[in-house]
Amino acid sequence: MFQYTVRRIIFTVPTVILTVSIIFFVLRVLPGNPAVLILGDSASAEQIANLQAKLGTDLPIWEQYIHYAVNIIQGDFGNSLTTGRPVTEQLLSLIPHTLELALAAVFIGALIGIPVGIITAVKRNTFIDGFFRLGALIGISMPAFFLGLLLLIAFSLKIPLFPSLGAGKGIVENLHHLVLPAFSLGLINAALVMRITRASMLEEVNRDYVRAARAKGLPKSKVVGKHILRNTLIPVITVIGLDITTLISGAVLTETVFSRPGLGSLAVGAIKTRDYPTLQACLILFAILIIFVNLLVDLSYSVINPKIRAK
Amino acid sequence: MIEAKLKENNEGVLAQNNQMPVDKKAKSSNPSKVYWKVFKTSPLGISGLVILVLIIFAAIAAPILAPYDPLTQNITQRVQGISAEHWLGTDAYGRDILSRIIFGAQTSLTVGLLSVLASGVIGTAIGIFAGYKGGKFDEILMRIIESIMSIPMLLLGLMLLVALGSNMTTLVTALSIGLVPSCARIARGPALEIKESEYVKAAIASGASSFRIMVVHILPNIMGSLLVVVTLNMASAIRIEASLSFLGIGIQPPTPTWGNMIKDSLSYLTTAPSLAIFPGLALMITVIAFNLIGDTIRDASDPYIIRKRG
Amino acid sequence: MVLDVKNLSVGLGTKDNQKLILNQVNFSVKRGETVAIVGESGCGKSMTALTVMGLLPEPVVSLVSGEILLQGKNLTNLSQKEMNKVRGKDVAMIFQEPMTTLNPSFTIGNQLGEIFKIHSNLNSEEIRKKCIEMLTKVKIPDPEAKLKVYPHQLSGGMRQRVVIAMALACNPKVIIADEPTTALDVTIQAQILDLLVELQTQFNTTVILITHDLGVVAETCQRAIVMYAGQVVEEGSVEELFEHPQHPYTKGLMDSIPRLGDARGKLHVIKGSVPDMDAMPQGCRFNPRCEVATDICRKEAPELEITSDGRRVRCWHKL
Repeated sequence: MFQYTVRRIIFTVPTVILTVSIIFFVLRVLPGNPAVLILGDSASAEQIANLQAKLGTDLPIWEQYIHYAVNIIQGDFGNSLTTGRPVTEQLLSLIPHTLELALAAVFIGALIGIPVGIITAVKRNTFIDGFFRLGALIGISMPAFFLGLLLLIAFSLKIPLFPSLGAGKGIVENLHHLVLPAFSLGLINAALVMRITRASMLEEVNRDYVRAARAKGLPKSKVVGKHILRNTLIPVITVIGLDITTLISGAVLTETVFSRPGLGSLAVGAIKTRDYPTLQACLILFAILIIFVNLLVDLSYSVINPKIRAK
Repeated sequence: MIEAKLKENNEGVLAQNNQMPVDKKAKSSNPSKVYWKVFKTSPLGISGLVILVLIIFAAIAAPILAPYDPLTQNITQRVQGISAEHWLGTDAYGRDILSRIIFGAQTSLTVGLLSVLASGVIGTAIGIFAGYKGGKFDEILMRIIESIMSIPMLLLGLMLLVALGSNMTTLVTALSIGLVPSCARIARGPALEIKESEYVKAAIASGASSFRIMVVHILPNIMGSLLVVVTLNMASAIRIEASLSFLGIGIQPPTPTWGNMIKDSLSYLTTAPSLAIFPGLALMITVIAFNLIGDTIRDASDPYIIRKRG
Repeated sequence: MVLDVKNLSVGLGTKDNQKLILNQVNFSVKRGETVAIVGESGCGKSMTALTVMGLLPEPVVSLVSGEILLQGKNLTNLSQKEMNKVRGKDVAMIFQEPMTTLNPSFTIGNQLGEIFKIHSNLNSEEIRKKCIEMLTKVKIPDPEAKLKVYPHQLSGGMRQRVVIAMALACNPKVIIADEPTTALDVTIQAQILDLLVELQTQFNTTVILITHDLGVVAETCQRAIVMYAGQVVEEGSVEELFEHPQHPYTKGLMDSIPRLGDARGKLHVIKGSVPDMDAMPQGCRFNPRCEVATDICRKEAPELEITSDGRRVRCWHKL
């Protein structure tokens, strides 16, 4: 187990390096001269030279890359071009907002998705099953921003139950602001979790151990609730984890729809203002977050699944 | 006793055959027949196909179908509700929403189709190659694939569109790169497995080239799962394109796309929410159609489900 | 009689399109006896076991008619809830595949202890002791440590011992063993069978052994019931069946056992295969494969006749 953990952690290092490099090269090398891009064609040579010096893009590419890597390791993402403040500072102040949204969405997703998935599997091919499967289909087909807009129109503009923008101050107000964004992201998440739970459960139902457990005299509910559930949840957890990718994209869109402060809206804002250091930092943070969550999923998977643990 | 055992084995196989004679036969002769058979019995799959055909028709026949020019502005008719002249109303510039939605289908389908095709070809090639060659080569390719996967498609799109400018080529490139991993991974697994099979070993022994083995032996074996992935990818591509346009970084106005129509509607959410709702519904229904079709094909090619049906 | 199965019919499919996969199956088993149910695969022997356990895969397969009397109590009348109290306590089952009958995600101790948890009022410490006791009975070394082990960490033979321990846990009146050794290596097979016989005498349990392996039958059982195409075709003591089979099918089975010192001749083979459910032959179900079949066999189905004490045959031309 220990060995597996160590090996798995070591394996993520090249992925992180590669991902960070990709982001660097796409944002720094592909656009040609970022300084020109930021300032526009009308900028004078002097202005461009100044900005290049500020960005460090006047140096040879490999030198830029080393600078960039060393700085990142020290947690320095440079200064924002719009506010002039260190990007790291900005990131740290916004992380809680995005994290709160993401966690709430995962929570809602699991809380709705897993039970509904189980119910639909148990009641396979009934009306309930059909109803929820259709709902899940709509859920996975729904772009996060559209669901957000629908909720916003319905529960904020038409029936003013919830605020339409911002994150609010203080716990109560904060939670009040969280409800709509969390549900618009969480419901989509729930659809995904439900589908995978249902499929996984249907696969487990026909296994030999289920009949054997019944032969021991266990009531059906216990067989489902204990024996089948544990085996069903193994792939479900992977999906909840892998879904972090969808979740982050969703967070970017949801934060934009609800004008909610967070990493997503920061990144979108940075695009509009051509704030390269900030955009870069956001992308790297998201990528590392995804790699890290995947690592956690793999490790937790090995805790749940005794077969992997043994290896 | 041994006879009895042999019999037992043989009959086990026979019994299985008897359970699904049609599926088996059709599968070995022509997979498209199996798909058709499953579609025929699946009302959801059929409705997906019907919706898709309608959308494709609308996209192709847009200039004939659309009642108005999608770009013509009419300041006197700004933000009007549903009426006999404008079935779905008009937007902030007085443009007809229905017409813009119909033309939007062109953009969505074109972007989706191009990126799905490109990623399908490239991803499959990479996956088969990696699986077949194995070793270091496989290891390196898979690390790259993993890295791409750790950048969400939306952000990958944002990144490339910012770096290279917002245009159709960049958008399709970004979506293609984002979709490559899904195809590569689906192709790699079977390639790894089939490589070890007796018939491929026999083919190698009889002097078949690697290329031939990959195309003749491995490719047909992954077509089923590839078809599912490609269909579902189409759904994601369309969704992401809309999301990027919604963020204002995808296809630029005035070209109508469902995404930028929704973006433009944001200032009118209170007074005219239908400006957002109609293009949103068009987008959603299209994505649903692709998901329905993808699900149905998966059911058709999933041996587990066939067994259950038998 | 511990178990009395009367006129059991089981159908596959829905009411309007039902095919009988068990047709009027009758047999009874005495206390402490080991009875074999023999036949080719698809003859309905496993289905008989599942019917007795009340574990038919409904609604695909369902009971059509018949009674299953366990010490006089009719199991077919019981609700699922009542049946749960019978399963594992009064009737237990050993399955064919020890690899898959244990849940991979729970420890041995958990899965074994579960039985005591539902069928007794023991507290967790007493349950633990009981589990260790059961594992010792099935001769698993170091039973205390094995409680914390997951199924995949045990060999196939050890797993089957665990499965046997589970079946014996509540000292059931009847144990149905469905091909308990088929999935195991030959050397392990013998060990498991010996263990089964030993425990059967020790607990004085009734065992119904379902198998296609006549060697196993000869070694372990007193009586055997031969099934063919969903029907009982012959029943008798093992010696009688082996020495003087009366049904041509039974004779065919006996002749296909390879015997030492008989190397000259080829093995006997029963030609053809078990008829398809959709195409049951008219008359005697065995007639297309039978060497002595005549016109009557092709026209009329023979009844199961009692020929002597404890001996029954379903044939027009008893051998």
